[in-house]
Amino acid sequence: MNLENVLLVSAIIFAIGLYGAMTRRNAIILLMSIELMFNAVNIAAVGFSRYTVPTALAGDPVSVTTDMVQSALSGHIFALFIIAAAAAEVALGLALVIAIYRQRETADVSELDTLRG
Amino acid sequence: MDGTIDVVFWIMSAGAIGAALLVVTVKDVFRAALALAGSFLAVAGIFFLLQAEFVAVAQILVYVGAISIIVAFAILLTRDMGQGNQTQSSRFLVVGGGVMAALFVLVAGFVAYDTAWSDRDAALNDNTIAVLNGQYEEVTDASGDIILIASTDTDVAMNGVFSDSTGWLGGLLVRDYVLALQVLGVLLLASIIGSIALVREQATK
Repeated sequence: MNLENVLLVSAIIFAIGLYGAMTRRNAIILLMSIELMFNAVNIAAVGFSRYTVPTALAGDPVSVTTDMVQSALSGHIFALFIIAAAAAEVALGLALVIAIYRQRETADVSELDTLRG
Repeated sequence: MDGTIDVVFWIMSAGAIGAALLVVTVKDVFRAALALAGSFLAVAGIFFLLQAEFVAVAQILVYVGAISIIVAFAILLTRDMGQGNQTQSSRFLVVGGGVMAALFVLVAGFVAYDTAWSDRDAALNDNTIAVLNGQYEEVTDASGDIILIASTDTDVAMNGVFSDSTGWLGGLLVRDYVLALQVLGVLLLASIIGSIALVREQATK
C-alpha cells in the first residue's frame, strides 16, 4: 500500500463514475455516478495527505511549529468539505429529479429536451 | 504487519471498485443504490487504512447513513416509472464512455506511477517525524514563539497529527478554516430550503 496504488484505485473509481455519468439515462443513477467521482477525489486527497509532505516540513526545518504540523492535514480538510458539498448537491439534485418526475412522469434525462433548439 | 495492511487495502479496493461497477451496470435502480452504499463503506475502510479516522467516520455518517437513504427515498418516490419504458443507452455511448474511462485510467495511472512523489518518511528529519507522531514537547523559543521539539519521553504528548487527527482537525476547522466552515453551513441551509421549495406540494393550482 503506497501512494501510487491509492491513486490508481482513486482513478479507477473516478473512471467508473465517469462511465456511468456518460452512459446511464436514469437521472438518479446519474447522481450516483457523480457521487462515485466525489468519492474518488476524496481518496486521492486523503492519500496525498498521508504520503506526501508539505513543503514547510520537508528537508530540515529549524523548528517545527503548530501551523506546520497542521498543514499536513490539508487533504483531510479538503475531503471533509467535499463530503459536505456533495451532501448539499445530492439533496438538491434528488429534489430536482422528484420535481421533474411529478411534472413529466419521467426520470430519463434523454427525454428532458425542452430547451433543445 | 505491512503485508496484512496491503491485503486489507486490496480487499477494500476490490470491494469499492466492484460495487462501483455494479452501480453503473445493474438494471434495477434500487440494487444500484445498495451497491453504492457498499462502495461508500469500502471507501471508508480505505480512509481508515490511510490513518484518516475522522474522515472515515464522516464518510460513514454522511454517505452510508444519509445520502444512501435519500437516494433510496428518491427511488421510491419515482418508482412507478417502470423499468420497461426506459430508453436504452446507445451502443455509441457505451463504447465511447468505456473508451474514455479506460483512457482516463491509463493516463492517471501513468501519472501516478511515473511521478517521483516525495516520500514522507524519507523527506522528514527525525525531529519532524517524532512531532508528527505525537512525541513532542511544546517549548517557547527565544523570540517567544511556541515550537514543538521531539521528546524522548513517549508519555509526554500522544496527540500526534496522524495518530489523533480528530483533535487537530477540530482546531483547524475553528481557526484557519472557520470562514469556509460558516459558508458551508449557509450552503447546506440553502440547499435544504431549496429542496423543500422544489418538492413541496402546491396548495393551490
